[in-house]
Amino acid sequence: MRRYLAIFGAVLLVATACGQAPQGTTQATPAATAAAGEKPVAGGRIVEGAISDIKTLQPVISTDTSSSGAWGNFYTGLLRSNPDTGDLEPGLAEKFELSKDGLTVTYTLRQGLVWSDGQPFTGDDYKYTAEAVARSAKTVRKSTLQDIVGWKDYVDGKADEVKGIQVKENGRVIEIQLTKPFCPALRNLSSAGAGGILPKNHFVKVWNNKSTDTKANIDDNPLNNAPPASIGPFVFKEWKPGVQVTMTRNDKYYRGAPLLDEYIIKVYADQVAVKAALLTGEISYGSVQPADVEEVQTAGKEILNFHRFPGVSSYVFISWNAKATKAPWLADKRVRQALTHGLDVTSIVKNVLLGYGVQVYAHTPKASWAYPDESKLTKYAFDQKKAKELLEQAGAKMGPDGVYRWSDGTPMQMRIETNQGNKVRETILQIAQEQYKAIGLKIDPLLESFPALLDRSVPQNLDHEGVILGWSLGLEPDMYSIWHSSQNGKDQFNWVHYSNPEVDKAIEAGRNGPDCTTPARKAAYNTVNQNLNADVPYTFLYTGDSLVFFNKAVRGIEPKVYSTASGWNIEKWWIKR
Amino acid sequence: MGRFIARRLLQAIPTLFGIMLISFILLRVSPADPVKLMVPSDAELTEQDRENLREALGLNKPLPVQFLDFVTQSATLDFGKSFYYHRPARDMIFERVPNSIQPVLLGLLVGVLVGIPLGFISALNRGRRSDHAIRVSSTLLNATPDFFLGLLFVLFLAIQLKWFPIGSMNVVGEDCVLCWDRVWHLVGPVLLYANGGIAFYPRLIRTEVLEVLSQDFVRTARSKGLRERVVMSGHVLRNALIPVVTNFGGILTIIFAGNVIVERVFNWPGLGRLFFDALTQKDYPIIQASLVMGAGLLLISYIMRDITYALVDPRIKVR
Repeated sequence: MRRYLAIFGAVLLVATACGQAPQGTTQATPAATAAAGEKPVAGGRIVEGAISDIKTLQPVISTDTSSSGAWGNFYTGLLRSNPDTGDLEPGLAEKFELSKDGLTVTYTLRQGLVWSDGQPFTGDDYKYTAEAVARSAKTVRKSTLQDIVGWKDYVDGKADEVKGIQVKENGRVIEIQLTKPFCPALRNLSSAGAGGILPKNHFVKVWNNKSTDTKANIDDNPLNNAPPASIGPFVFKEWKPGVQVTMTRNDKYYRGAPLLDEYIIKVYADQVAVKAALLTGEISYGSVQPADVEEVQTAGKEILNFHRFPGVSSYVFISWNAKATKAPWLADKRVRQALTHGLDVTSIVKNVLLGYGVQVYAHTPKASWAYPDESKLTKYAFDQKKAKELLEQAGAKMGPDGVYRWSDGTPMQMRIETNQGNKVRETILQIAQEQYKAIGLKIDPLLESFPALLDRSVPQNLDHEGVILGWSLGLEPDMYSIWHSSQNGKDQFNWVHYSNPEVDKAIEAGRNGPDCTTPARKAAYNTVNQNLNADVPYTFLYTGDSLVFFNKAVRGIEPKVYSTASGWNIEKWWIKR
Repeated sequence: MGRFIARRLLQAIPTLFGIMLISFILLRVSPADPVKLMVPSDAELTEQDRENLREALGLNKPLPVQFLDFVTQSATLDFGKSFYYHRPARDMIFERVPNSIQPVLLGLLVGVLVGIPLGFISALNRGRRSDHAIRVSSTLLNATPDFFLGLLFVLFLAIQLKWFPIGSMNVVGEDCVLCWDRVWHLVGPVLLYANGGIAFYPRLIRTEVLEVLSQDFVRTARSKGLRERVVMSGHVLRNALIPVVTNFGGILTIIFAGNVIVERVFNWPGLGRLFFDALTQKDYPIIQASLVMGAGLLLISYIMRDITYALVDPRIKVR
């Protein structure tokens, strides 16, 4: 969906979910094990419950996860993420390589790939899609491709192709030249900047990529709502706006034709409706909120299996604005450390999230290959005495009313704000207010609409102190847009004005090399995370789990650490009858 | 009559303009612009990218120009394309009108068919047990929020007893309008829409009927030997129904706009949800299209109401 959001993306099963779950709830036997020994049968239909409307079926202009959950079944990138490790692995491309100098990316396609209509899938489809992104007026993903040689000339209509993308060997090899080394290139370029690759033979009829007319683009045409061919597991059949998208099996899917005949994504008004649809068996699977797990488990134990997928690419935090005009003390690292010591995050995870999440101490999510050596991170145990000591070291003096005075004599009083309607965050705000009061800081809680919060948490606005929000990230660990000191321009994401030359250098090394090997990048991100952990520009809180219920009739699901929303092995799913 | 309608239509123009101006201003001054809401957190946008996006969506023009565009667009019912769906806002609204109309119309009908007779029964049995029962239940229903009744319906009749579906227009895989499946799915939403009428009309009609019954013309009618049936239908009913007409003033808007609460509770893909989602995402073309069409219909239904007045009550003259 948008900038910040809960987690629906990649997922993982913890077999012992009952460990931290509320007493009395036991994890149902995963369908995967129940399926052992059973013989899969073809046929049947799966219905997925989605909670926000599907808006478009064309990747270039798509901005939300509901839509990508639908078109992701027709259009995919060249590579996949390994379901166990999250590492890149062959998909449509069987080989992929970033040259030593970090300037050339080469993808080699599998032999004999065909679209669902029988036409061959080639590098021309890739190039066409990248060029569609270049000329789109409504895409939000243009910058992914901006370092490709000849990109700007094509965008400006000075060339009739992007010179830096060369398609060779009858369309089997795609070679991309970059203007500067870009370490995330292998992953970030693998889906042509759009997220999924379009069938050129069809789309070229509605937008010609050889045109130099910069006004013409792919943004508005009937194919955007009716995908003409598919390279993924399912083929588009029908879209009823606001109701559902229906797809049928793609017999030509390169990983093997799915066992299911039909796959439907049905749109629900909210989480309550999804819960009801799960309990009545109307949908085959859907996700629920932590607070609903116990109820659904009890009421649906006859027909539902519970799967708990730890989040792999998101986290929730309280940001501390180092340039806050009304709270100059936030510029002092010791004060931010005190704020982190003064909040009992462990108990928040246990009591507010009901155990469905893990505490985090730095930026990179735990499941990432770039996750730092945890033993070197400070855990900031809940310690009010230590918090007070830190405040005093920073120069604060206790006032007669139990509130500290900053070195300039002003009482240490400030706001923490979050978006109204998010119950978990509202509760965290309440807890923070109480616990910070105990260490002599006065908090004024502020609840706002989500748009208002977005308007306030921007670098150009210095009139905010603490903000509770969450990041939803990709699997690529590059964190340039959030932590690099240059990213504090209008509406950019470094609104806490974090600036640490060592971190800047490490982020640049992880992004632009010159050494783009995994060990080198891992070392760079280790440096970044250790610094973030010590500087605490945010009080890092937790990564929430994704909580999914499957109907027991659905078999063949193999939940893994990293799995795309529609399931990494969806072609093997089947319905027990 | 023709002049009356023409005059009222002319008077409606400044009202419509006012509605458009105020809603336009409210939309633009509320926090966050659509581009900010649209950008996902893993997208790395330069300031130039954002500017280009604003330009593509027509958000970089000065506000007065944007408003002027809005006015000229409204005149031709072309409201531009949705920021998220990239489809004409008008088409998206029109394709949902049939969805919204079905439960609303049936709900109104059921409300009238049940509520008005109840009011009569109540009035004619004043002070008896049936009167008390009707008055108490209508007060109770009136005091219960719609969403609560809806949730009770879903929880007990749909999830627990499985007598009715939890929502939606059809069973998954089914796609029909004139069929039992649709009827079955309509029960919940129709009852919820009807609830307003069932709760409200009895009390309204009861008061009116009692008042009319005490009028001289009723006594006259009876004393000249008219049968009770004729007195009731020809004199009492006709006069007691006038406030119901008033109550129907905004009917077209209700039909048009749907109701976000009913549509959410029963997962009904109607206009209310479309409008609500558009509001939270600041999808200006859809919001503006809904507002203009809704306001236009409201004004038209007021004119229709005035005409209906004249038909039910000859004392009210159309000039």
